[in-house]
Amino acid sequence: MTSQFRGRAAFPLALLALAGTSAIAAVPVVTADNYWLPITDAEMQMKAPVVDPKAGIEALFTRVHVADGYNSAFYRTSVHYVRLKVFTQEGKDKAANFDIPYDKDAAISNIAGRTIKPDGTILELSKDAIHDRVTVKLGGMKRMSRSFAMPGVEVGSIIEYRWREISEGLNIKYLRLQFQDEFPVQRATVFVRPLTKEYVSGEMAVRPFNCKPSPMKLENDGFNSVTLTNVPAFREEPMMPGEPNVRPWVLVYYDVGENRKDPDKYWVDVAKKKYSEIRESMKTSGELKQAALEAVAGAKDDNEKAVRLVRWIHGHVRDLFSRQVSDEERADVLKKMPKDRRRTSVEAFKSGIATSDEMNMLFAALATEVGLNARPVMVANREDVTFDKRMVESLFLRSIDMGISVGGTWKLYDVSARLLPPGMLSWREEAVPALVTDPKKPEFIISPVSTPADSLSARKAKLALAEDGTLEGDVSETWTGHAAERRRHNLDGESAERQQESTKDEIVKVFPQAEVTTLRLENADNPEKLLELSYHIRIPNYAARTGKRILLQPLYFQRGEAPVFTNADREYPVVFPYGWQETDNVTIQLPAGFPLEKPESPGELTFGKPGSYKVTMSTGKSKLIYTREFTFGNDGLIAYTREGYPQLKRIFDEIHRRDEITLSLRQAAPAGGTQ
Amino acid sequence: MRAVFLILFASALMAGDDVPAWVREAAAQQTPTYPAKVAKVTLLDDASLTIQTDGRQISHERVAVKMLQHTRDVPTAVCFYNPKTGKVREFQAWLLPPSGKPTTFGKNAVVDQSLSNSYEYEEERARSIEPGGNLEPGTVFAWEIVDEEKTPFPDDQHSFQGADPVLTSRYALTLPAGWVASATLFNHATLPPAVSGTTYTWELRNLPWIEPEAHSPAMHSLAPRLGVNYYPEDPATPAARPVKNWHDLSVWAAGFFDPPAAVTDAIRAKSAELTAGAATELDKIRAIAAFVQKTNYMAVAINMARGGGYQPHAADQVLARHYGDCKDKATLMRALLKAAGIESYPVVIYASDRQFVRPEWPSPNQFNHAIIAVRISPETKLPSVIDHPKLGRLLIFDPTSQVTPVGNLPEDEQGSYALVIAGRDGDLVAMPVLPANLNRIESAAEGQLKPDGSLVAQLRRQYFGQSASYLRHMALFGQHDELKRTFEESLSDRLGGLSLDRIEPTDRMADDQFGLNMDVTVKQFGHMLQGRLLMVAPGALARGSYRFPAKPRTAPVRLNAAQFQDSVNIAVPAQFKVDELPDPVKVTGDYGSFSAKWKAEGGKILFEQSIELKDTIAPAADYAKVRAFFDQVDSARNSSVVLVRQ
Repeated sequence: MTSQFRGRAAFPLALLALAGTSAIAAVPVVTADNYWLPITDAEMQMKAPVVDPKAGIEALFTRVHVADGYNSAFYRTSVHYVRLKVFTQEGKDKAANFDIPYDKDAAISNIAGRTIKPDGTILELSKDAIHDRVTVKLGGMKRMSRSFAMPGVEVGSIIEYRWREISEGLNIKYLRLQFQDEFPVQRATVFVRPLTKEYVSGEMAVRPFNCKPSPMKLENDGFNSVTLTNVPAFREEPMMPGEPNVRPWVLVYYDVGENRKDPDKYWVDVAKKKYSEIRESMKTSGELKQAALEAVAGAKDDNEKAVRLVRWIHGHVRDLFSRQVSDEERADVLKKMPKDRRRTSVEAFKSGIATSDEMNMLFAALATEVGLNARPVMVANREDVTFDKRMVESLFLRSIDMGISVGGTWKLYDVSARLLPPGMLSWREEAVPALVTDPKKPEFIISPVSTPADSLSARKAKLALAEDGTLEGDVSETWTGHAAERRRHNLDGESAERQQESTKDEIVKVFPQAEVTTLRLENADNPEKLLELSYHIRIPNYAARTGKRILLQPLYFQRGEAPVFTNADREYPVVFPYGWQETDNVTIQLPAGFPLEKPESPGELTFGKPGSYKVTMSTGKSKLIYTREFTFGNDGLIAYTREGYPQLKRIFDEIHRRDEITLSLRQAAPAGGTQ
Repeated sequence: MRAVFLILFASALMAGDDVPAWVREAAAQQTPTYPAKVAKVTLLDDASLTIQTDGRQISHERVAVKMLQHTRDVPTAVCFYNPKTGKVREFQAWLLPPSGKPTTFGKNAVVDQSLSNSYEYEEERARSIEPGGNLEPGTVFAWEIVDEEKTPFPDDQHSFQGADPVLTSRYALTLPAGWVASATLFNHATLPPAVSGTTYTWELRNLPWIEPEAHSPAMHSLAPRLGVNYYPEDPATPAARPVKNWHDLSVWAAGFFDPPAAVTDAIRAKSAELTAGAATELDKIRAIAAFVQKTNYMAVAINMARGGGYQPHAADQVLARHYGDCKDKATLMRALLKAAGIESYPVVIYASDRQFVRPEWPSPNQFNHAIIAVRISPETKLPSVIDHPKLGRLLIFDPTSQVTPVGNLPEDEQGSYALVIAGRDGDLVAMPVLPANLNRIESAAEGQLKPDGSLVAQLRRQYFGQSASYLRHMALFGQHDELKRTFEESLSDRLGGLSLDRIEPTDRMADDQFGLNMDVTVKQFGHMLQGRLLMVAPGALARGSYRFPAKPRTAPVRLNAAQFQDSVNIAVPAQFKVDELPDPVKVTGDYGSFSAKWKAEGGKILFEQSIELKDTIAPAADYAKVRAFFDQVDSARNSSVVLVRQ
């Protein structure tokens, strides 16, 4: 979890003096790219990596010096210096060439590099081995990179290289610096030197995340440094928390003109300011008011009013960045967008295309017109750093949703989440702190978390088994909530015919021998309705034949499902995106002359509060009926520590084991015979 | 950043009626009914190439695509070029919605992108115009490109379609006066060109949709494509090098390849160092090959305007820098071998598809990779050796592949045609295809089944030849964790919850073998029924095989030669005895053979399975036969032995 450590530069800075300044150019001197640091005997003789014994290459150190300056515009100078040691052939391969990508607003210079071979020979990176490439160019925009190949790299070599990057005209208030790289790092150091007091108020602060670097130290050259040692290489895992929650990094930022000592006061100020800014844009018109009143006419309560307004907006306004809008339309809207202010709700409505924030502002404006109490709400994002209000940094509350007060409780709406039913938030915005803005009394709330029942997969199959193992019959499936949204997302943008074809392909992937006919997929584009699928299927050899038995896996919907967790080891916590529920009903007509051999049910599995698993079985006349109910994520229990991984894996393995239950049908003996 | 991008884009768009007549004519065409998956049709693909006497090629392309359905798979106008050898003169596009105003895309809508993110020095670039998403059915997106390229190669190739169906696809070649062309049309019946003056035109109509299907040949082996050579009719004209046959090409390419392979003092010294302990010719080749394989790979193209794709760096420069691309590595190896008294030749080949190179079209444009042919004595006996009528016994070797030892060849290069560059003696030759048994996988599993259905087992696998490449790459590059994760996932897919308690690779690259020993505990290998029956499928411990869906097939099925031998030996718990065994299976077909048998013996279940696949391309008409073969393999793998409590 997020460390509460907060390092600060040891020198206070004066008030911000940004606009219209005519101060003499203040150019910071960064000399970190003028020299190579001495190579020690220990580094030369190092035979094995320190951080990760299996690593083929390891950084002995990485250093970045960051200095800000002003010279008619603000700019930032970063000098990077990396020293690597190659231990294996794999490491040698990784160290073959390097790419430094940069944008038009940045300049890369002073690239230098050298290879120190195991015998001490030094090969300098020659200038002709450094190449510029424009990787992407669109109109005046360019994305470029400088590339170079290190000479004579072999196992045992030390490689070091450095470069200077100068960025101009950017928002220099925030800088995220990673300690972690693609290879392990023995010692990662960040050196920072802020703008002088003539240009900025407050202090430059360094806040570490997911690590405990050394205390900030003032160096002789005026830089302040923090160091982190023994940083392993980054490795991705399925269902891991958002990267900013697991990778070690630091946020370098200016504590400009905001009182952060009292978090409560800080957030009140932020919320009031945001309310005022957004309120200005929520202006409506007579036409809009009339439309809003017509949309909610006859609604029985405030909830229904809100839902109808969302529906109305979806019918009249398209999301600027969705696939519903062509590039041509998008470009036209962006071209006409005011440069110095937000568009008002009326302007956004008239264009018929709006940004996510504008759609939400339009919603709030309309809601206000019909008498609902609406407020802009600043919401955290689960894919970014886990928010804590003591972080006193509005950078981490960037999304704007709208809150409607219903019975004294704030209900949140994100109108731009068009693949979810109104009132349901993206899972990224569920169960996170949200700041309800207000001119007088802002408040923090926790955004609602959907229940597993909100993301339901309900499936039915009515099938018949033949003597040769063929299974044939009708299948229907429905999905709601996030479970439906995930499927809708995959189908989005395709015609109904192509949606059906791709759905059929998914089924055939599970049952390659199957023939799928009469497939119907309904409501793929309407999140207010159940996403429905039905089809007829015929699967030869579904059940295995032995000499006298048919071996049948009755849980049709679980056939072919891979285990959720396959790896024994786990580095990071597990976070499921949302809780979910599955209810299945499978009826199988059995072939005559093949009675079941004492069929069993996988029964019930209890694993406490997070959920439940239960399978029941009943038999009728040559008929087998299975029902399966599985729920996971009750009470928002969707996040688990790394230590809890083995237990979590055991639960899901056990469910997988039970889902694979096999039944035996034994051929009845001929009349008068014996078995 | 995205907003900036789009604002720029906005200025690039103009609504207007300056849509050319050819676009409107193409858009007015009726389209036939296509299968439900077909989202768009190419109404017109009209390409022409005009050759200048100085070797410049002026290419002119007009394409119009009609959307038939909503799809995310929207068309993009793309033009590939190399800034060192060519330029894009004109690039325009138009979007005609079914109703409303058309849009013209100006030059600021063009995205210009480097195609090489990871390779150094490569200058291949692409310009593209994207019409955006959410195109209404009936929308037509059209573009026109004029570009110029200076090339030393007097030839061209043209593909008449991609996967989408095409109404009219045309290619016209205009030559200077006194020049002639010869052409070969691949993947299509013979079609003589319409000739008017010095312009040759080929036109195909109503080309069907090519559905992407698993195990099918690559698109360039399915879609009609044309290879053309052109040259002055009078051989005395010094305008261009005529390439009429593979010998010509060998002579020309040798001019690029031979000088950089010169032996210098540094090369001589390195060669001597590497071969100091080598007793035989093969030992020397292996020592040098191992060194070159360890030289870092990096794509390096120089001197593009003069066929730089064929220009290696000097061997001693590659030696000093310790990096280079495929032709650099081949050149370094040639020089080192030469210093050791062994003759060799560069070989150019197409790296990723053994069917790509066609012998009927002599052209350097057919190749994208360089390997080496080493002239060897009769005493050196290895599988990847061919007998060349003029050059003698040639050992074919790819020094860029770090996972293929001397004596073997990467799978996609086996059986491919390749040009051995040896002056007048050079020729296009077929690369060796190694027999399936040299690329076999032998697998043995020995396990103890517990009364609760769990299993503790040791799996031993031996990978031979090319079957080892993928795993060797992981092991060679120290990806032990990745290796473990890969097997955890693939075994879990078949066996359910398990723990992979140990995985131990053993690489014997010189012997072309890679071993893997694994210990696994499977939670539910046997399925208990009624507390008295235990069903086990021993085949689940064997390797997986191919599966083909039950649907009509349009493309041939491509199968590479392979051989798998599996044996499984499972000790049955004392409380149980075998009640039922599956019947043995033996299938022999046109594409391979398969046998499986189950035995109960001494308290154990014994399962043996053998699969041999022939190197084949099965026609689509035989798809049912191919499917039936693999269905039987799959069925046997899943067949259960029934144990009963005694």
